[in-house]
Amino acid sequence: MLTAQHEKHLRFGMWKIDFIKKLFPWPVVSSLEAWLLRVLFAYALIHFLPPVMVQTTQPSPVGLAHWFDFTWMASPDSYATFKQLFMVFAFAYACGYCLPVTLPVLTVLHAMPYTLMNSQGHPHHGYQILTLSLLAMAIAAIATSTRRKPSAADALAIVGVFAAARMFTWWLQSSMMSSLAAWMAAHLDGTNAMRVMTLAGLVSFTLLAIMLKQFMSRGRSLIAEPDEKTNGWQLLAGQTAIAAAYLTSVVSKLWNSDGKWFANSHNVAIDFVKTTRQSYYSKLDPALQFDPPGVRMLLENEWLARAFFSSGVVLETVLLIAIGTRKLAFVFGVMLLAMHRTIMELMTLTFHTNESAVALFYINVPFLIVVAGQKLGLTTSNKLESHAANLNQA
Amino acid sequence: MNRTLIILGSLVATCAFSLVVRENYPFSHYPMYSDPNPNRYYFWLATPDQKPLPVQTLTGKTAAQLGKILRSVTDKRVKALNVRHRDQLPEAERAAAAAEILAFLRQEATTLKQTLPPKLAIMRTDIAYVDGSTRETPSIWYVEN
Repeated sequence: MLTAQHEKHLRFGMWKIDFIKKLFPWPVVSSLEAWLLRVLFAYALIHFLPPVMVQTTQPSPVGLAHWFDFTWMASPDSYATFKQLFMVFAFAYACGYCLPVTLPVLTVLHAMPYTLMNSQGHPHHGYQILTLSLLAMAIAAIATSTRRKPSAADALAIVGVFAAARMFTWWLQSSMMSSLAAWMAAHLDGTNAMRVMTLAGLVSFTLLAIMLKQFMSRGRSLIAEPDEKTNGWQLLAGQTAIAAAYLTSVVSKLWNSDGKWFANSHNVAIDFVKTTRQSYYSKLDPALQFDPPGVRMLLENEWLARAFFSSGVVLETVLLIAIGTRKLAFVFGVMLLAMHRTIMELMTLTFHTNESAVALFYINVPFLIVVAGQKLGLTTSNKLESHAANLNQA
Repeated sequence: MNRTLIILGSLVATCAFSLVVRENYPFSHYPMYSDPNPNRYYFWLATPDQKPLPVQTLTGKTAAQLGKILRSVTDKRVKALNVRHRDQLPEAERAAAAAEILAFLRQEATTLKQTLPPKLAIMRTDIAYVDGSTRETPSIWYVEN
């Protein structure tokens, strides 16, 4: 006969098993949502790619630079060719063409300029999250791939992809885009002009991606889109890579501080002052010669500082339980975005790549667009039941 | 294979691998702000008479990057000499490290078609929060003679 204590242990054990079973629910991803995710992510990759490379040496090689010399990218002609090739694979990825090949190549191409940049002895931590997401999605694409024989449709698809990449490059370098940029610079402040130009680039990229999608789904150039299993795993892979990056940062904090990070976290405010000073000494900008008011408040209130910094680390830790969910991922994504924006205000440090990755894979902008389109009667997806299932999912 | 196992396994594996390989793009152990300490310091570029220079405008490298380069160059020597901390490097080793850093900055300035003064200094400012205010103490880390 079970005693009350045994029953209590049993109930707790069942609760644990139930919790683990409910972790990482399967996200039903429609083909339209998957397409939007690919288009937006591909554009983010192109947008953040360095416009020029100036590193002529790699004095402290990291990653692939241990085996390969990437300094050829410092040559403007070579880098222009590299960017053209990158765009070809970005378009191929955006239209979902042959993901088990496209994604691994795109991952390697994406890693190359940042490997050279980080081989200068001062590693930057802003781009890892994008390459890691690509790497995870490449592995997922290979694992979920099904064999098919190449056909004439593949040749047409490749021609379409090359044409789209060429047209996009031509459009970016056209006099119309230059005139638009000059007009924006004359009438708007730097940040807003940049935002409008980013939006203009996104609109043109999306229009070309729509044309490519149409081209690939007609007549002899029929190329099957990735199936539901591939789409689901693509989203899960991106979310897992992002959660892993944040989790690594948490473990590093606990390891390097001998487990005293939370107790000592109020001292991070001193780091904020240090970062402000470093910003000042970079350009001797008098506007950065004082402590931002928020930092002063954190320095003066130890417990407020501990609560502020610790809440960010807790959020980074629990992010993993939002993998595969919709509502929870949205909530955690918005909180992460708020955290990055607050740090940006306090430290004059930007986290645009992290914010983009979080917006696409956690806040789930593509899913929100599809749902909004359906609510407004604009999209006629054949996956209405999938979205209904997702909306009802915790 | 079970989805939960795949995702949990991937999280643990990525995390462990990143901590082992540390800074090897695209992996990183993300060491920023991982050891909160009441005493911090930063480096900046100056003339020998301690007049600050806009390091980013002149070399394309920010003051934060100057600090990272300095740590990276000195840590190689710390490892080679089996010294406990970079502050304990012998004077000759510190001078050699500084010469390497300044040569690199001069090369970067040339790429940007900028001219650095013939003699430079690397300054270190220690920063602490004491009795309700931040106390900053600059000192010369290295000066070219």
